[in-house]
Amino acid sequence: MDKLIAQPWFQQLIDWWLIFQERFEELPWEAANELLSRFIFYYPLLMAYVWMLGGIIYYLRWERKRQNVLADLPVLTEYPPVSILIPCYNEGENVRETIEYLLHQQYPNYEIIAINDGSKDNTLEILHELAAKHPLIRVVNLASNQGKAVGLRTAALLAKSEILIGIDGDALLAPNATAWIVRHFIDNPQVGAVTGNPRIRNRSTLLGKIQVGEFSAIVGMIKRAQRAYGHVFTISGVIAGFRKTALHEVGYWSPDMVTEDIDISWKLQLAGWNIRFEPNALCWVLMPETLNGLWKQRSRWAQGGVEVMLRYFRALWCWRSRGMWLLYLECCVSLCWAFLVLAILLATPVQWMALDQPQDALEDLSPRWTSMLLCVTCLIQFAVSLSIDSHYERQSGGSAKHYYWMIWYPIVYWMINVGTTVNGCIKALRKKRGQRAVWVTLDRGLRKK
Amino acid sequence: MKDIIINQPHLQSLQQKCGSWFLSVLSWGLWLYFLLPLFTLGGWLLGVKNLSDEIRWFGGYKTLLEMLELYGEIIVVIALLWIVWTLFLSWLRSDPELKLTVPVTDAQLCVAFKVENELLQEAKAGKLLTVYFDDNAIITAINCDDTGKN
Repeated sequence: MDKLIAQPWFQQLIDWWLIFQERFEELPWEAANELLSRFIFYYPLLMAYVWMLGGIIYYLRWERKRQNVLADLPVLTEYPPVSILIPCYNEGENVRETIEYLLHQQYPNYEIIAINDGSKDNTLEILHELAAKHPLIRVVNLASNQGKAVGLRTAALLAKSEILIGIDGDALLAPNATAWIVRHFIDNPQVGAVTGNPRIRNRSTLLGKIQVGEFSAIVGMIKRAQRAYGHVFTISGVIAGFRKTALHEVGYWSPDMVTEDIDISWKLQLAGWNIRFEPNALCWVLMPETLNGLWKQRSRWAQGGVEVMLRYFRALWCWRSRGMWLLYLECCVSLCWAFLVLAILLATPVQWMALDQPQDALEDLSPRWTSMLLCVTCLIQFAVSLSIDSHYERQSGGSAKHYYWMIWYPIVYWMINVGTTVNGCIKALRKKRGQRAVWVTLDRGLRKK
Repeated sequence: MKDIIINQPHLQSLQQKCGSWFLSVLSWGLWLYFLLPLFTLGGWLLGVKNLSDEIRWFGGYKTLLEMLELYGEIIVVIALLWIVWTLFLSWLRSDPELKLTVPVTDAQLCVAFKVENELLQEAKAGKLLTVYFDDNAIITAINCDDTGKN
């Protein structure tokens, strides 16, 4: 050992290590720590006001002057044929209700194409039964399970119409939604897709009630703000209209993307097509009401978002795609935020245990002006968004009561979203390119048939 | 419309009920805890001088005013950016040269999906269809179940 220490190269190595240690200690760690802490705290605060103001602008420009949004129909100059596509996988318990509700569309010229995606239950039998009763219904049976994207692609090929509307197999499309969606395609030939307004049906549990508020305050507000900005991150997979020509130009839905809605949204916009948001196109949906179901759903959403960011990174590097740059940047920042939050959550207990007086660390959790302002901002955001969105909840008892339930949103959902974002990101990075995207939705909330 | 809404809390399991109750209490407690400075500030502004020590503990009234000033400035900047952007978009689209789109043709569909035109026409006219795929999600056959044709 003494001989080793006496070696000149070993002495040099020790010198380098000491220099590195000295330089390392000289780095502005406190400043960096302060900077990271401020970012973690202020980023959601900043974005809350961005979304709020954007949502208000959308409301003032396009939503305020509308009257009875739940019953009114837009006056159209023409009524082009529409194909409503319903991809189904093991929807035996829901598809009958979905299609029978769909038959009440207040639109004169439409067909219904139900796609059985290799279901293992009695979905196909139910679809055939319904098709025998109703001339509007066509059934496309995929011989094997191919995934939602392939189901939609196939239906697009076989549809007789230029305008396609896709809804989930367990969703209920409002009778006037078709007309409100078609309006955008008629008014502007550059519109490639129209995203609707999903509404939560199941409200039996705390999670269900929270999601009602979430879709109003978060999803709805962000959608409005992004529409005001001019580009949206994603259409709603549960309800959206498409121009077949636009789909054809971008190659239809990608079979290997776990969120075909995010994927098609980016493909369309990168190709120069516009996407519109139509809040009057209501679609009532079932959502998970267990933590496990929610985790799986949100992890898939997060994974899909990251997959899109990875795939279309190169396509962004052109002037034509500049409208998507801010969206991409916001996604990247949000990902960084989620990872940093997780890192702090993991590091804080270790840091506390290492302190000589751990109780001093509890001071960090004491109420301060900063935490108060963050809470007040949340309350303001919820109030603004629920106020804007209240029109669509009139017949279900109004949205004021959801303000009470939404008080749980930050604690529950921010933590879930941090976890699902990290989980989804890891899954996206590990996924093989071209791997077929298929999934099963098991949790559709509590419901007595 | 209310028939669409599913509100059947009695279907919850005991675990779900207990979890909801616990989360409710926890959340309300945390909200009230973190909003304590707000209530304290309100009391202090209304003349409860005994709350001065608490105000100093939270950071002091002057610090709060500085923070509010900063917040206000940031919000104004964000609002101005939104307004400028909105006006810019309105100007940009005030005289749009709307390009008329030519609908995709069946011939184009056949090329894209690698199916024959005759088969596509029969499928479009069919009511009950079965579609077969290879491992790459490419259509290999379309069977019109209501006519028995491939």
